[in-house]
Amino acid sequence: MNTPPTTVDEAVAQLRRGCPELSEVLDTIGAPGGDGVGLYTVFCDVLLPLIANVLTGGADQSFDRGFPGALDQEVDDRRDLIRRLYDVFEEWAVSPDRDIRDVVYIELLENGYTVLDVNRPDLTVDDLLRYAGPRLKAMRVAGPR
Amino acid sequence: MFRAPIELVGVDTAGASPHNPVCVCSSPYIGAVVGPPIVENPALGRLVQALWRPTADVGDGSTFDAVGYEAISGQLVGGTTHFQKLAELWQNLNGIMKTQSLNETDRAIANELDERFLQATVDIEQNPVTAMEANLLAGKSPIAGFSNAAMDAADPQLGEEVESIEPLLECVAEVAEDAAGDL
Repeated sequence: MNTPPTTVDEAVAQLRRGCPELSEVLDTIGAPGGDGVGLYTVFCDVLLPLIANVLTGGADQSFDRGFPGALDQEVDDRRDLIRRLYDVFEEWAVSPDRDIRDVVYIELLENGYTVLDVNRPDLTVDDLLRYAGPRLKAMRVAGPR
Repeated sequence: MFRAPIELVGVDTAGASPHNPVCVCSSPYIGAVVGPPIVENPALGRLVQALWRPTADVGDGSTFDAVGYEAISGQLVGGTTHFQKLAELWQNLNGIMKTQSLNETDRAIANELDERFLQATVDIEQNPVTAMEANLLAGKSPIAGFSNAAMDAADPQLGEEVESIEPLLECVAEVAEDAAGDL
């Protein structure tokens, strides 16, 4: 059973358990670890490009250019992965560690996400919440406190 | 959403292009990269996407301008502060500059992004009291997200000012607690 993580290390370990397909990619970027590789980098390098790929129906290829061959290309498999990823976010959203809640809020709920590569309309917060559970939705209203 | 009461800087945008961005926003750092630049390197591109958000309305919508506004005004952007994000993504950029083979254009853009990271960090260094106020207003530790460099620069000034800001910090902490209690 998952519980809200109390440290960044725990949060990443939870991510690896919930989404084992991403473990190799997380190893590639050195997460978590020193030299500033924390949750913002995990979102920036891995999670948001992956979410953008699924939300644009595969049009945004930022993730696959960064990590070619890392994941199965099957759209249904990626949707399943994203659902599990958002289950992980549900735990992060109620973490006692304010920094973890802040990352979730800033990266998913504060503004949208720009898909530069394909010049498509930007992903809005509503888009980013398509797979969200109740805790993330509540955080959108209440903020990261 | 707060709007930054920062004076707008007017510039000639006639020569602007995706590869030659010019200042069209409130950033006081004229000549630096402003607005999301188009880059070729995938890692640098992902960093750019993380730094600029489409509906952010402070400055040019970048983390740099959000941090500058928070540090200078003591107010929040989107209900929180962005100091930690700034510090961590600067490390990310440093890693990219060390490990990635960037073409000439990307290298130039990376250097300009590096300058904007530096300037935003200087905003914190030069305004440690208001930056701490912003953190307290967000319900965080006063030094949350302060980089080592910012802490080093802030320490002497905080040492001088700590006595004078103590009542203010207590007041801000009380307001933050009240606000949290209202939620």
